[in-house]
Amino acid sequence: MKKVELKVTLQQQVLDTQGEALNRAVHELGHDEISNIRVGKILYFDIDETEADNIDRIVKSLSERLFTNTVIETYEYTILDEVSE
Amino acid sequence: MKKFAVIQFPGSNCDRDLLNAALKAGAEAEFVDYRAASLAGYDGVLIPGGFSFGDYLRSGAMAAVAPVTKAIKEAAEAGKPVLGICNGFQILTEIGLLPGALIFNDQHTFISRDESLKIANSETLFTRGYGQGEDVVYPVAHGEGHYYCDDATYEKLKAHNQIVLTYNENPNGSRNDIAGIINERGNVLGMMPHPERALETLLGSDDGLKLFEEMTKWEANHVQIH
Repeated sequence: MKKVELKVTLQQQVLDTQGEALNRAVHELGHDEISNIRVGKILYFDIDETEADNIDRIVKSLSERLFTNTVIETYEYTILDEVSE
Repeated sequence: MKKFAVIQFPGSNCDRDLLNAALKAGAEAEFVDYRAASLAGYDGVLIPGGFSFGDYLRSGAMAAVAPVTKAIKEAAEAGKPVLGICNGFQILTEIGLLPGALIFNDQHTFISRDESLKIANSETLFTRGYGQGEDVVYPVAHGEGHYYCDDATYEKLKAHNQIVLTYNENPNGSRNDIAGIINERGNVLGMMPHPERALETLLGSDDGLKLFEEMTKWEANHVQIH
C-alpha cells in the first residue's frame, strides 16, 4: 500500500482567475516581490499496489479519465511513503 | 409525438424548466435519473443546468463518469438530438462529445442577467426557426462560462460551421464570443445561455421557445452532416 500525491494545475496558457485575484491581493498587502501566482489542487490517496509500473498505469488512467481535464489542466504525481497498516 | 429525456443529476436545478420547455414545444418529456443505464425509447436528450455533484473537482467532471453518460453517448452516436445547457454544456465537453472546455469567467464572478446573443448558424436542427445572424435574448447564469479551446480546435469549429451562438457583448471572456457550439455531425448542441428561461414574453423574452420547437420537429433524415 502506497500513498500518492497528485498535483493538478491549469496549463500555462489557461487564464487562472483565482491566481490573478490573489496576485492583486498580495500586491495590495505591499508584497510587490510576488508575481505569477497559480492556484492548483492536490489529491492524496492510498493505492493497494507496490509495483511502480502498475501505480503509473492506474494513476495516469484515472488522471486522464476523471481527476483532470487534459484540455485545460496538467498533472504530476509523487509516490510517497509506504502506508503503515 | 417526440419523447425527450431530461437527465437529473444530484445538484441539477434547471431540470423542471427544461421539462416545461419540452412540453410547451409540444413534445413529451420525462425525468431520467443519472443512474439509468439506457435511454432507449427517447427521441432526444436534454441535459439541464445546475451544479451536478456540487461541481466537485470541476464542473461536470463527476457527471461525466455517471452511469447515464454511456447512454447519452449512445444516443449521440445514433444521431439523436442532444442539448446541454449551462452545466449541461460543461458536461458535454467533459465527456468529449463537444471540444474545448468551460473555465471560470474572466472576472471570477457569477453572472446572472439577460444576454443579447446572435444566432451564428441557423442551419442546425435546433436553430432552423431563426434567421441567420438574428439577435435573441436568453438569460445567462454561470460562474464558469468562459469557453476555452486551442487555435487548432477553433479553426476546426469555424471550418465546420460549428459555432451556433455568440455573445453580442462578451460577458465572461469566451474565445471569439462563443456562447454555444455544435458537434460536426450536427446533433449535439451545448450552450451556456438558458433558452428554457426565455419562453414567455411576460417574463422577459420568449426567444428560446423556437429552439425547442425545432428540436421537436426534428426527423432523423434531416440531420445535417457538415
